[in-house]
Amino acid sequence: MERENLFLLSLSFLMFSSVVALSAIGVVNLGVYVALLSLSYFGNSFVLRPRRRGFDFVGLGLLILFVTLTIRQVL
Amino acid sequence: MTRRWPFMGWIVAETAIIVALSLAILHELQANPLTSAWLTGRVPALVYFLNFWALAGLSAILTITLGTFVAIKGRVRDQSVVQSSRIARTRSLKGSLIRKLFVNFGRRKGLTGSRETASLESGSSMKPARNVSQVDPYGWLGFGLLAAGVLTLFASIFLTIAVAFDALGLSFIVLGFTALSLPRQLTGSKSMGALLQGAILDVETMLEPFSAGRAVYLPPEKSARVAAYVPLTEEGNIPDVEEMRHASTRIVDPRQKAVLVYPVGAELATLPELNDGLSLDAALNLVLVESAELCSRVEVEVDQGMVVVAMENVKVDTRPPSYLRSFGSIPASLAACVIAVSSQTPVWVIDETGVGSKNIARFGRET
Repeated sequence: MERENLFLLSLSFLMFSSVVALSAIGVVNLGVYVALLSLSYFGNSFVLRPRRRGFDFVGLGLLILFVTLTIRQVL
Repeated sequence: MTRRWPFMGWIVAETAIIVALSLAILHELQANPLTSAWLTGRVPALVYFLNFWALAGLSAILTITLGTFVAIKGRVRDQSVVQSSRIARTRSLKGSLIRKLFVNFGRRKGLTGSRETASLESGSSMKPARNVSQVDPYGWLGFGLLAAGVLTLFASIFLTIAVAFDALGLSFIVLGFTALSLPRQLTGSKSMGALLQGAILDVETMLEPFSAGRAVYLPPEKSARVAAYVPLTEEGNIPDVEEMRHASTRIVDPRQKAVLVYPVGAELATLPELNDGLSLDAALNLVLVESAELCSRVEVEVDQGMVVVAMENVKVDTRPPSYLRSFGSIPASLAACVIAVSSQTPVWVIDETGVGSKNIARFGRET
C-alpha cells in the first residue's frame, strides 16, 4: 500500500476512534478532543512521513488551535 | 488556458455575491423587525445562521475552498502535459550474450547451469506494465471531507450543540485538508527522472555504434565507484573480475572487445548507509524509494546466484536504447549498483518483466 494512502487511512481511524472513545466516556471539553486529534496527526506524520505538496499547513493549524485552547484553559 | 479564466472569474464573482447577499440580509434583519419576524415564522432554521459569526465563518470557508479549488485546477492543467508520456515501459532484456555470461559464471562456480538457464527461459513471457493513473487521487475525497466537516460543525454549533459533534466536524476538516495536501503523483520525481536521463546520454553516445552486450556491474574497489564492464561484441567469453577491472575506459579501436564505464549509480558506493551493513532490502528502499523516488515500493528476494527485485509503480522511462539493452532500465541499473555494493560481487541484469503495477527485475550475481 502507498505510504500516503496508509497515512490517510490510519489518521482517519485514529481520529474517529478518538472522538468516539472520548464521547463514550463523557468528555465535554473540546480542548481534550483537539489535543488527541493533534497527537494522532503528529504521531502519524512522524511514523509514516508522507510526502506533501508543500508546507504542512494542517499541522500548523492544529498546533495553533491546540495552543490557543490550552492557553484559554490555563488562564 | 484562456478559457479557464472566465470560468474562474465567474466562480469568484459568485462567491462575492453570496457573501454580499448574506450581509445584506443580516443588515435587513437587524434594521427591520418585521423581516425578522417574518423569517422566524416561515424559515426558522435560517435565523440560526444569520448572525455575524456564522457569516464570517461562511465567508472564510468559501474563500479557503475557492483558493484551494483554483490552485488545484491550475495544477491539474500542468499535469495533463505529463500524461502523454509513457510510464513504466516493459522491456525484454534477454540476449544471447547474457545467456552465455550467466552460464559462464555458473560453470566457473562448478554449477551445471540448469537452474540458471531455466530461469532465463522463464523470463521470456513479457506482459506490458499497467500505466499508473496520474489523476489527483485525493482531490474529490478532500473536498468531500471538507464539506462534510463544515456541515457537521455548523449542525453541531447551531442545532445539536454537542462537543463531540464539534470534534467530529473538526476531524472531517483536518482529514479533508490533509487529503488535499497530499501529492497528486504518489510516486515519481520528474526532476530526478530528467537528471538520470541526462546522466546516461554520454554512455548512450559511446555505445550507440556497437551492438554492445549485457553489462556486468563490478563492486567498488580502490576507486570506491561501481564500474560496469560492457562487451562491445557478442563474441568471446567474459573474462574474470580482475581482467574486467582493467578494461579500457575509452573506445580507441573499433575492434575493441569491451569498455569499462561508470553507470548512473556509480557513486552510490560512497553512501555511508550502504557501507554500514544495511540490508539489501533496506538499501534498495533507501535509494529507489526514499532518495530517488523512482518507485513507491521495493520487494527483494535473494536466492543463491539470483536476486529478484520487484519495483512498484515505476515512473521513469529509460529511452536510450543502447543503455537499456546493456544496463537495463534506470531503476534496474541503480538496483544493480546497490546489489553490487551490498554483496561485493559482480552483478548483471538478467531480464525485466512488467506484472501489473510492478516491474520485476532479475539480477544474476557471482556467488
